[in-house]
Formats: sequence, C-alpha cells, structure tokens
Amino acid sequence: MPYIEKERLPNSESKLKEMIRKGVPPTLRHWVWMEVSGARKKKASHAESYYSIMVKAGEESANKKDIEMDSQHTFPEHPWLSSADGQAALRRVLQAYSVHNDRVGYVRAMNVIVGLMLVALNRNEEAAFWLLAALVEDILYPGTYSRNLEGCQVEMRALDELISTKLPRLHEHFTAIDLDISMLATDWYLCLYSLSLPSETVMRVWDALFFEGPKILFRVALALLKIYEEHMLRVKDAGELMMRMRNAAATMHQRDVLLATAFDGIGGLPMATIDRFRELKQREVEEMLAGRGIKAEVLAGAGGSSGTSPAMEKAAKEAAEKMKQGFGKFMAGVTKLADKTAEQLARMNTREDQQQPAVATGGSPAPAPVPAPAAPSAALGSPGASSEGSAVAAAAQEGAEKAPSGNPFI
Amino acid sequence: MAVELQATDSVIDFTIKILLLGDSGVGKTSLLTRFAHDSFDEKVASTIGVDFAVKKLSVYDKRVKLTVWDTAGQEKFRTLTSTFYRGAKGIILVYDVSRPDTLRHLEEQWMRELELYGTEADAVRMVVANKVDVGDARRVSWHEGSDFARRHGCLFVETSAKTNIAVANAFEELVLKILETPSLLEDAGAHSGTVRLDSLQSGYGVYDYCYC
Repeated sequence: MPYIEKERLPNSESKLKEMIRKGVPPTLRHWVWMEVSGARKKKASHAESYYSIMVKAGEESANKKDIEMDSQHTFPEHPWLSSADGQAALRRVLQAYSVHNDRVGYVRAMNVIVGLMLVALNRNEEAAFWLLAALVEDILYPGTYSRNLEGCQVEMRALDELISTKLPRLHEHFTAIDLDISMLATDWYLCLYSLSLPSETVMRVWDALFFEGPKILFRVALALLKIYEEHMLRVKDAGELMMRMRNAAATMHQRDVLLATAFDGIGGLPMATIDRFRELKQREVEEMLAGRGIKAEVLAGAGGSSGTSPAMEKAAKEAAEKMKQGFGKFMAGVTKLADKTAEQLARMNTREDQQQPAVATGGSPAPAPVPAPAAPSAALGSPGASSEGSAVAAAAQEGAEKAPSGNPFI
Repeated sequence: MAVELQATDSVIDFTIKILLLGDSGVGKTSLLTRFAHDSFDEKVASTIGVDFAVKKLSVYDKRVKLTVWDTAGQEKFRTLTSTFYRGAKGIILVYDVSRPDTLRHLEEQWMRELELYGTEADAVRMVVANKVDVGDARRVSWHEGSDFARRHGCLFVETSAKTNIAVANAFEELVLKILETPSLLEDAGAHSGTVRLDSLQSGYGVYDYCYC
C-alpha cells in the first residue's frame, strides 16, 4: 500500500478499500487499524487516563479466574506470550476490558485475539484494548460474545444459509455426513481466524475486517470452503473432515490466493443478504435458547409433577406460531425455514413427552449413508499436510522458533 | 485386553463416538492427547469450539474405531455444542481431584447438559478423576469420587494424563462396556462395516492440527 502515508488516508472509500484489501504494511498497521476500525475515535471520546483506570479496576475483575487460566494457555509456543511479561500484559488488557464492558466481561477467544494484537502492535496494550472494544462493541455482530454466544450462533446459521446458496454441493454433503457448520467455523468467528490461519494470513484478514466489518468473516469462510471443496466432498466422516479442514486452514500460507478468492471468487455478498439471514436466525436462536430453558426446567422438575409437559407443549406451539407470523414479511423461500424450525420445536416437544425423567431417548436419526462424491480431487495439495508454522507463526515476526513439528499449540 | 491397531487398518467392525465433558482446565484435552498420541504437554492451548481425535483398537476380536470429541469447558460455550452430543455411545465426565467444585459441577451442570442433548438412552457413562499426580494438593478422595459415580450409575476411574496413569484403561473399560451393550451397537456397524481411509493421509492424530 504505497500510497497510504502516515496521518493521511485517501478520501475515497473505494480507493481505501482497494488499498486495504491489498494489505496494510506491518509498520502502518497500528495507525491504520486504529483509524479505520473507529478505535481511535473511541479512545478520543474517553478521558486520557481511561485505560489506566480500567487496568486498575480490572484487578478486581469478576472474570479474573478465567482470564488468569486462559492467559497461561494463549499461544503457548510463542516466546513472549508464554513468558511472565507477556502473560501479564495479556491479563491487564483482558481484565481492563472485562470491567470496561462488564455486560460481556470476558469470553475465551478474546485471549487469542488480544494476544495476536499485542504481537502485531509491538505490545501496545492500550491499542489492543481499544481495538478489542471497537470489534466487540461496533464491528462484530451484536451478541457474538454475549451469554450463550447467541450472536455467534446466529452467524453460524447465517453462514450455513450462505453455503447452501454459494456452495450447494458442499452443503448437501455436510448434511449427509451430519456435520454442523458450527463445528468448523465457531472458532473462525469467535477468534477472528487467529487460531485457524497462519498469522501473516490473519493480518491480511484483519486489515479488511477492521475496515469492512464482519462481511469479511463470511467471505473468508466461504473462500476456505470453496478452495477445499473437492477435498471435503471426499471425506465421509464429520470429525475427520473437521480435522482436515483445520489442517488446510492452518497451512494457508498463500494468502493472496485466499484473499483473492474471498474478494473475487465467491461472487457478490451484499450486506443486505447477510442481514436478512441474521434477522431470521436471530429469532431461531432465541427460540432455541428459550426452548432449552424450558426443557432444562422440565428436566429439573422431572419425576414429580405431570403439569410440566402441557406447559412445554404450549410454549413450543406458541413459539412456532410466533415464528411463522414473523416470517410473513420475508421472501417466499424463507417460509420453508420457519416450517423446519417449527418442526424441530415440535419434535423437541415430542421427545420431551417421551422421556420425562431421565436421559434423552435415541430420537435423532443415524447419519444417512454418504453418497459417493462425484468430483475428483483438486490439485490443491493435501490439506492433511504438516501444520508447521500455523496460526501463531506471529512468532515468526519476532524471529521466534517454530514448533518443531505438528501442532504448534501444544 | 485391547490392542492398538495401526491407523492404516481399514477394516472396522464398529465406530464408536465418545465425548469428553467437564469444566475448563480439568484436563480433557490432555486426556485426549495422552490416549490418542501417548504424550503430554504442559503447554496446552485452551480449547475453543471442539476438538477431535481418532483411535483404532482391537477389543474382543472386534476392530473398533473410536472417535473422541473434546469440547470447551467454559460455560458460555455450552449451548454451542449441542450437535456434538448426537449419537455419542460413551460419555466421559472429567473432574480434577484438586478442585472439588469440578466434581460438583458434573452433577449440577454436565449431567444436565447430557440430559438435554444426549441422544442415546443407554450410552455408557464414566466418571474420570484426573490429575491424581498432584499429591498433597488432592482435595477429593477416591471414596468421594467412586461414591458419586455409583450414585449416578457411572463407571469410575482415577487417572493422570500427565504421568500416564490409567488413561488407556479408562477408555478401554468404557469401550468394553459399550461392546457389552447391544442397543448401542445397532447402528455403530451399519454404516461403517468397512471404512476406506482416504489415501492422502491416515496416521493423523491430535498433533497434526491446531487446537482451537
């Protein structure tokens, strides 16, 4: 990005977008990220000493224990992050954030995001704090890190819909082998790929993410799936597919290939489409969580009263009805989803009736036999290859050694 | 009693799904790596989402492929992992003998989750008391653990993933019990009579992919 000079970004949005998509030079990242993410403005709207006050207050954070535990297990192969200094820095930022935003507090995944930020930003704790704030509060889908991570579940379901539109064969395959996309993509969205891709690749994704927002998470997810589609079609076990995909992502060093696919190879991805799915899925997730609550209550009160079951039935019916009503205003194809959800709720309800006290019965069908994949392998190199130098290769930036072999996180 | 099969062995009689449940930090991932790869590392990354490993054993003349699933223990992650309970025949509930609250949570939280999401009524459950290597830091006795397991109709084993105490035994005992439960085997063989492994790579274990 030769034209971005310090203190001056191009006025034209499209020009800026184009430049950022080509990658921000490492030395300018701190400044560009702070600018385009809104973190600098956020910081400026608080008192000068705000961060240091939060650090102080963070010492009494309600999440102290979790933060303490996770900061000892964040990129454990990274020399600085595994040192006492690095862990203390990470702890300070996370504790400060957990009191600054006590509604969210701390969620595992923030540790790896902040860890990688600290490494990328020359250990600037305050910058990491404000970038995290911009991400959680303004950029990412609301509720991504809330209780039950509802927002993340909404994103997973929206992604699932996009896969069925953009990569229908793969979607069919996932259904056939009983693979829920959340198995693959939860950490992509929660950790913003920081654990999944080589760190130089993550930096490029983050460049675009800070400027363009969570659409980038979808673009990169779809690109990864598209690039390895032929491989995945041949794997007939959900767990094995998950591992192979992880290996593939961890060795995605050809960042230009990934980003070119993400930006140009998956076709248009209007934010309106994503938002429409999100709205639908938000409701679905809320109903699911409500159903879970009711179910938990029924189970807790099981053994005694028989009055719980009709209540459950009623709630499920109401929920299904409410959903159908809500869906009226959406496109035609969407009604199908409502039915599916209503059906799920009904099924859940039936199951509830059958198994009042103890463990759930074998309600879910065994995975269907897998149809033979049609296409031969693409010439993409084995995704199962060594994961040398994967995500935490941020270490490389610091001239650190890579893990001798295999998983760098152990 | 159980013999490890080569990862390349492609004829499998049963595929059995096993879950590891329990609080954050009790050692689920370490048990998984010890079992699947016979190794241990203090520097294990916290699990986000789910992890997975495969191991093949020969038990009672049956060739068994175990798929072991490991999940994040942190509370917020619980509703994310409902799909991961589907079809599990064996459930390993792990607590840390130096943290009594982790045993209490098995009853208060993890068994509830199992009731909410488990799909196999006859799934074999096992309570594993991990970290018995801690010596004086132990806060939960063998008796408390085994009483708890008996009360809940679970098998019970004390292990240390770190010093390799009884980890393989725990998994084997669980598998034996599953093989003795005919209702659990009905579909375990049906769609996996012969598993053809992908020629690309077959000997992978948990070390070959990232822990996230």
